[in-house]
Amino acid sequence: MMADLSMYLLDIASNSIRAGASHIMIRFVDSKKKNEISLEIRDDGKGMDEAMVKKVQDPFFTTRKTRKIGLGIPFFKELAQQCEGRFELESKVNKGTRIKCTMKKDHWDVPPRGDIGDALVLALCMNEAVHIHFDYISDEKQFSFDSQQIREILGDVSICEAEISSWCKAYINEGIKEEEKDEVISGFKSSARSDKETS
Amino acid sequence: MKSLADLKALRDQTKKRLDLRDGENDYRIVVGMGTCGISAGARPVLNTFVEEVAKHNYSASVTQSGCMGLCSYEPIVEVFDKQGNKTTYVHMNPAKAEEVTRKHIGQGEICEEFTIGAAGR
Repeated sequence: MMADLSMYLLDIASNSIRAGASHIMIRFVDSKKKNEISLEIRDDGKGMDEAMVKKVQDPFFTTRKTRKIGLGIPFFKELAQQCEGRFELESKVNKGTRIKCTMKKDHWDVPPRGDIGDALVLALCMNEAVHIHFDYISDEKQFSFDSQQIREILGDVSICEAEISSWCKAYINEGIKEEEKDEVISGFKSSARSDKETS
Repeated sequence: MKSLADLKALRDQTKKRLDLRDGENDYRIVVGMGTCGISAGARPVLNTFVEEVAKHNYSASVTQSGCMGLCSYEPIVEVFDKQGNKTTYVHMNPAKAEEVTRKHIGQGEICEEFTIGAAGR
């Protein structure tokens, strides 16, 4: 298990980059109404045949030669199973790969989002030539971030320069931020507060 | 709210800073960002290097690499100088990254205590 969703995102996106993808589409859906959180990554990388699709879900398989085990995809699958969700993995040789993890939003084991903006910008800096399109959809808002559009603005300045990357991270995180509403836990919050005051 | 128009202004400002630097970088900093590196905390290490190098406008590039095959030593950072000499720092964290940037990149002094050689002893 990884600490937060952004880590899964970064790990799966880096698989796409290593698979030689030139376009990566990332879709993050967070819906209270449907009680669902999902993270989907689609790429046009070199893809995998059926046998390989089976193998990559095994924690003791990796294409890498530097170490013997690869855990990115098995971790992602485990996350879906643990959170009473679904795991989907489809791939075609020379066409690309689609991987999706759906979780039950109110499940105990759903990890926090983590720094999604940071993960996206880090993925972009792994290979600047790769086009990454990110969509965020919740009940209240929609937000998109498209690396092509950003590059047109930046011209010859790299997105990986410190000022630019931290701006982009903040821009993304602002775009996907949800208003916090006091709900079921508000009772807990207020009692915790009064404990503090009395002590 | 931030808008993409702000980004244009920031871009021009960054461009000015970059123009002050000339030619090839003196150092290349490579941060291991495989699954192992990321789960060991490589992200804040990478960000610290990027920020510190920009803050002092040092002549160095910061890039990412995959797993280097020494997962138990992650986060791992390699620093290459112009001649291609490599220093491998292991078990890095943001505080060590700040020190390495200041001493190694800024003053050319290797931080021996954080190197893989010191960790093996």
